[in-house]
Amino acid sequence: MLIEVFLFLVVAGVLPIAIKGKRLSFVYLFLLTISIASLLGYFYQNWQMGTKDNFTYDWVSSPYYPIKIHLFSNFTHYAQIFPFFLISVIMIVFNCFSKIEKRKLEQNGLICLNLAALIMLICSENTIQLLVSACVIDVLGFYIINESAARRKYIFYNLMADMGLFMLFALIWGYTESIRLSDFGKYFEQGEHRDLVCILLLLCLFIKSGLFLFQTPLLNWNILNMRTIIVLTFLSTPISGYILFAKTLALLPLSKYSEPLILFFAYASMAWGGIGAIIMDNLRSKLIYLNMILSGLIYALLNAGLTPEMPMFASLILGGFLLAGSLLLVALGSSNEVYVSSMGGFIGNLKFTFLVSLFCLLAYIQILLQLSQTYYFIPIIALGLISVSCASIWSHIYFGQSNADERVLALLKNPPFIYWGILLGLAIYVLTQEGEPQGKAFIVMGGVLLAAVSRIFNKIILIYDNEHVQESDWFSDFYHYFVIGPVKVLGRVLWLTIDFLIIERTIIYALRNTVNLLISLFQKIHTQAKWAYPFFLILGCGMIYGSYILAVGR
Amino acid sequence: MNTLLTPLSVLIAVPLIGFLFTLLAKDDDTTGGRNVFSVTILTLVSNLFLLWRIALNLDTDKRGLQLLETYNWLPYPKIDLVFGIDMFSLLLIAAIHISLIIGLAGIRRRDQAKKSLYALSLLFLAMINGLFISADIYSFYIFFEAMLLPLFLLIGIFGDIKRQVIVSRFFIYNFLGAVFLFIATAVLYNHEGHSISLSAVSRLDLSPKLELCVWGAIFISFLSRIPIWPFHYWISSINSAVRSPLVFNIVNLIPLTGVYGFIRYCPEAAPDNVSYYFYILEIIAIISMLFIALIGLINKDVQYKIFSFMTVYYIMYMLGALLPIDKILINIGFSLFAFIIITSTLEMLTAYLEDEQDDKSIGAHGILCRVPKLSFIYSFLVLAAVGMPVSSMFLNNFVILSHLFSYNIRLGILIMLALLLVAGALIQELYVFKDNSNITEDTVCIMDISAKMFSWLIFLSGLLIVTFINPLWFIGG
Repeated sequence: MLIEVFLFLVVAGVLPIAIKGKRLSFVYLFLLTISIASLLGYFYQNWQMGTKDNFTYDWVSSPYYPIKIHLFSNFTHYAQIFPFFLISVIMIVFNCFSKIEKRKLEQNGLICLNLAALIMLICSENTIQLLVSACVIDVLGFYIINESAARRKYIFYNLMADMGLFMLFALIWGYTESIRLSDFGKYFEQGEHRDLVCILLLLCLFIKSGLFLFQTPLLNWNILNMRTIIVLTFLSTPISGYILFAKTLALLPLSKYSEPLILFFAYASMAWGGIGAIIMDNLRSKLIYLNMILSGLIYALLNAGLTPEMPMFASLILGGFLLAGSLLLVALGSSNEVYVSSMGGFIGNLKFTFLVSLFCLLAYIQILLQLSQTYYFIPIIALGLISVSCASIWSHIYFGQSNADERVLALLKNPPFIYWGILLGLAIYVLTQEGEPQGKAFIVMGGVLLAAVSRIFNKIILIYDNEHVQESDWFSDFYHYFVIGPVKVLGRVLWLTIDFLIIERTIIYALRNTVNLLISLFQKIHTQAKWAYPFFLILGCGMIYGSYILAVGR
Repeated sequence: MNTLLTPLSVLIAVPLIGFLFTLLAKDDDTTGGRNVFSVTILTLVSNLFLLWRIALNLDTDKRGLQLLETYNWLPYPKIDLVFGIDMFSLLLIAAIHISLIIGLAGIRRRDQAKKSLYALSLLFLAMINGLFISADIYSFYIFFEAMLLPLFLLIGIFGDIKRQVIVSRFFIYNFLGAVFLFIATAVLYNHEGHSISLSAVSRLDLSPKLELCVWGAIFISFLSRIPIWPFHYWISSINSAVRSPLVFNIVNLIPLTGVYGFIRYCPEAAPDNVSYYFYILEIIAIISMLFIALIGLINKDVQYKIFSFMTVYYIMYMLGALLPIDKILINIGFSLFAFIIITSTLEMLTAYLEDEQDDKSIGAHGILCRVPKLSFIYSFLVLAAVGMPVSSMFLNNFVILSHLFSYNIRLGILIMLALLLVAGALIQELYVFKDNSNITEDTVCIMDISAKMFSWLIFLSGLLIVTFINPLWFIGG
């Protein structure tokens, strides 16, 4: 069944390249949206019916390197794919109804292809399929980002992560002679350099998910529109990082450093994400930082025993998406105003938007509280950070005095029903999935509202005005001065000393001068110089004598 | 076998006949170089067809050279020319033919499309074909040196900048390599009294001192062809000086001959006595890789970046080939097949971009922003080059690197670091070309490639994707 979905998505994603002409594009866009939504229905139906099949394609059937592509349809895969399928459909619909998106068809095609790659990643049973799908997701992400400034670091960081993964899977294959994920156990018995494998693996995954120290490429997305940021954060490389982590979890006990490393990066990401979500003025940056909290939380939970096929994992992803969606509604309602400092008092015009935001946050809180029953304090930390961040954001957007300019105020209204209706529906679906909302959820929600209304975060506006805080990219500067800079200096020094000074100016010049000297010497000898005759005479005699000595000696 | 028209000898004969035809072809203003171009293309396509026929006759499970042919050249001293082929050689020869076709496509619109360029290219092709099908040390030596003549003329005539200086460097380095290989070949011949097959060289029973001398000479001669420090400088200076894509592609095949020499002379294991050479070679190779990769990263010349990329990969293939594992040879061959096509096409498009930049007097920033066809192909090729899963390089390099890691983890990590640096350099360049931050409506932009050229490049990209989809087809994968 999954193979049909996969093939359909690939065809639907590739076709937009061939579609030319405005009218035809419009028709195809409409058809694409309808068909992908129907496909989701078909997928959901099969999941509920428990349809199973074991599709396998023998990619390389060589006895040395057998590689199979697996697309098994089973409960585990359905459960893992579902949240991403749902988010993809919602984003396709949002793109379809967007008034400002110029590349609707292309973007939707890319979302389809990205989903196909995610399905392949989730169904991976071997490292090659894992690598191929992760790389394809990176390349598609590159094309989804349509701004060159946002692409630069994204492609460098992901290239580094991909090459790191390539290296460690090659290393494992070298020891185990198997690419199957289930054979990672063999590496326990035979493998060396275990610390290296684990540390490298984790760093690569953290880069992909944009965890603390590696968030720069994600932060560069703040020049993209909100829909693109949501697509990238909930369907692209950060997600591939989580899935890769879950798939390679069996390797991590190999090193004693794995656990502390995961915990450090997870908590540091949550803390840094929380700070960023509060102090950044740009709504898009806030969205990215909120996602950083989610990323940290997911890594901590996956480490603690949560698995991607558990319903709670899907709910957590959808919760994060709902919160991001609520910020998207604000941007849409305020004619794409992105600076929170230029908002305020929007509650009057954006009642529905605020109501939907309440539901979205309630759903998220409910999920985190549910998770806290099993994983104790980890979700509680995230809950605290998200609540404070939301209280601060809402306080500046919806309450207090308006700082918006006349254009924004004049056009301020709730976004079209299609946006808030879908998000509201999804929030209610998530809430009902998790049972009746708990009393604690309402208490936390009340606290957030109280904090927002009372404007206890009012003073943060001072940080919004601080250009240094808003514009600085400390981590990027750190890498620039301490990693890239020295590497470049080393390259230049090597070029100047070895290539230029030693080879060009010493060896080549010496050889050339020697040849020139010999040439000039022989030229002089062949001229009618007086000393040439005795020189040749002596040379000839020497040669005769040498030959004689050699002959007698023999 | 003394029959002349056997498949392997025809592989050399066809380009030689093509060479004669190009010399005879009418090439004036009325024909506009079309005659010689057609003859060259026909020659290359005929040989590709012949290669396909040979591939069908090869037993992919059998080890060693097949379809052996022997020609009695001289009765005294008894010297025979022995030819043979296996799938590895065949893949390299096919890649070289495709590379030359790509180079030809690149020079069609340039003033450099002259008769002598086509003729010398075909002469070079005949010689390099001869090298890749040589089965004994004498044949190998003859073709190893014979290919230098057309190369010397090509660089001398079509090298753009500092031609004389470059040619003198070319002469110094290659003459050095030639002398050493000649000494080694002559000593081995004298020792055995007859010519020796290439695979037998590593199994000869030589005295320890002689062994050290002979292998030392062999190592120096092959290293002089590979851009390993300190031999890298002459090839890098040629790369920076040559602007014709065809000549660039040809020049960049020289390191391949050095790598090929190592592969054929040390098929599985070299004698124990010379193991020191391998340690030294490994150290020099790693230093060279990192050194050239670092310079590639800081150098602003895109051709130098391509050169550093090629060098790092060639050295990696060489280190892979020196591992005592025979079964990865075919992975190296198939990876090289895609690698040569990718780099040749990249070079051809880079030359096009540089031409357009010169014509329009514009910088490199954002040059690909308004040329969707060129931008698509260039991005695809860069992604393929850096190891994304779009060509046979992906899977085959995975196998090669995994063996290198098993052999020596530190070596493997340093190789990966060098690969990362050159990949970074190429991506950096792609970013510069696609950077649209300063592009406005009034910005002068270059002309996109023609529909015919785009179709040809799409075909090549498709070929690369086919090599990825079925990465080991030649062994029934």
